[in-house]
Amino acid sequence: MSENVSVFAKAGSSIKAKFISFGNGIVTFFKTPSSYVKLGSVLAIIGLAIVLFFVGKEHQFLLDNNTIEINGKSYSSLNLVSAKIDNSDFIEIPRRTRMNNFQTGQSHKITLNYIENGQEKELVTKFKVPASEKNTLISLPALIAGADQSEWMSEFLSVQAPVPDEPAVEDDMAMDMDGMDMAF
Amino acid sequence: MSNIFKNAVTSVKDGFKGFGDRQSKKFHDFVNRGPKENLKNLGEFALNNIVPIIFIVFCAFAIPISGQPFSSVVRDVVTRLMRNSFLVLSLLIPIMAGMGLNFGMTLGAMAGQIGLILVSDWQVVGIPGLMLAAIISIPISIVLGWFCGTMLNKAKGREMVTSYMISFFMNGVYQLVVLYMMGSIIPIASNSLLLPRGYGIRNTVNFAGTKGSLGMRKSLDNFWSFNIGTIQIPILTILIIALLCIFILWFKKTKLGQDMRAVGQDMEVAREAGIKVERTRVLAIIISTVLAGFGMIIYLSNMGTLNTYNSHSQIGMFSIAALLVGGASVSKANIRNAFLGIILFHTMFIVSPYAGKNLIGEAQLGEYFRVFVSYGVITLSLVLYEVKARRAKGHQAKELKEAQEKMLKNKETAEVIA
Repeated sequence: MSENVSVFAKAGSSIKAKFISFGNGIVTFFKTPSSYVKLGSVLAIIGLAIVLFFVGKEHQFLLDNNTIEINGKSYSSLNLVSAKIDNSDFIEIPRRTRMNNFQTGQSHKITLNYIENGQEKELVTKFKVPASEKNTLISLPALIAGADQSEWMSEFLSVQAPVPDEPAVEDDMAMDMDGMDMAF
Repeated sequence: MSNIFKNAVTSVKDGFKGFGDRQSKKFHDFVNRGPKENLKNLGEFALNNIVPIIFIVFCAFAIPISGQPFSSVVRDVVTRLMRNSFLVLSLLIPIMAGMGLNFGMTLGAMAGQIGLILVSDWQVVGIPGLMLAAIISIPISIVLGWFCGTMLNKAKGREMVTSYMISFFMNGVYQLVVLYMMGSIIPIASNSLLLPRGYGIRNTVNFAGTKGSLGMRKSLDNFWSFNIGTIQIPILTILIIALLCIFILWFKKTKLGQDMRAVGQDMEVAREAGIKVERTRVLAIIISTVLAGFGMIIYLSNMGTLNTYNSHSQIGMFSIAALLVGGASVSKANIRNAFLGIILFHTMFIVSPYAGKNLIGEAQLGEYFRVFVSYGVITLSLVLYEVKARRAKGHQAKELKEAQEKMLKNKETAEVIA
């Protein structure tokens, strides 16, 4: 019994020593100036990763030219609208159609060219998309009519269909590690 | 920061100057020596560079036989050079530290792949996507590299076979993570990544971007490039590879780099000199693993498709074979070996099926040939290394014996005189 107690006491003191040494290690870490440089570098890399996530995040914009009713108000579709987001090329969106456009980042600028009362008009609007939003539906008639952003822009929730497996495009070095794939 | 830059520039300058000096010295020696001596040296040179010579001769014959236009061969070689250089260069540091060819680089490749899978799921595309994948791969590579380095410290002298086995073991862990944990424990939202059962990643992950999506494929190569005829020269990729070369040259001159060289030459002497041998070796493997992770990201962004369960295992074998084809050995490798190896090895890969088809009417023969060659060249290099090591050992023993005999003779003469 006393042997067991001494074993536990030894184990306890060993764990205690390790904790103390770990604590001393942390204290020493914060006492040396180079540690702050290391810590700063790690934080800078994490910061860079966060920036890259927001900058590179791709959003799909569905540019919709359909008649739509929002909050009891109807917005009629236009004959033809040319639209571009950021620096992409203009795409022509005829009545009752929907086109998609992929862009990265959160802040965007949409430029619309359309004909109203026989006059060609241009509308430029800046907007932001939440990072979590994958597909965004933009109702062009509502946007042109001057509706609120929450009315002309909404998240488009699509039901993902099962995707078939694609054949792998490989380097023509492709083979199993043992090379047997090619032999048989 | 400016000091580091200055040091790097000085290292590169010294590297070029050293290379020039060595070549001019070799030329003077060649002129001053007699023809018999030169012939003997030529034989020695041929024996030391047998693998690249075999490949140069093979390529010289196979290119015309293949019937492929030279420009097309050059285009393919340039593409493969850009795709593989970073991976092959990542092998140099462990060789410097005397740890041989790091088959454990597949661990870094796995880390790179995990980074790319996560980034694909988050739909971060283009160069930011690749950079984010690289950042994600760093901690995974460090942990895997630390594990591999620690294991290799327990198997000193048998690093290559141990790292090869570790890569198999880690492949199992990787499959557990990717096949079972992704989608169930690690959240993956995209249906195009998940298997139909709802968890696990598909055999193929496409980085090309579909239906107008921007994707990540070739985003590095296309960012800044120009064309010479049909050959695309990706400047940004070249700059990244050049930066790694400068890093390697600079690293050799740092305290850690010198420590690694000392450890590589003699572990016991290095330990006596106060170098922490184990720590230095672990660091060499960690750096190599992290670089391999970056290399795999560059490789896959160029390919555009990830073969989830195979890409990493293939890449280790072929990177090592390419380095050996360039004239590297288990104990000595440099940047020149890496580039020469990639060019020769991949030229062989490009032309051999066509050559086989034109020569015998069967492309399959060329396929067999290149599989055979890639394994054969590793075997040949290892055998040659062993032969050289034994010969050097024998030579040393002979010299020692002669010195002892001479000493005994001198002692006897001194006794007689006394």
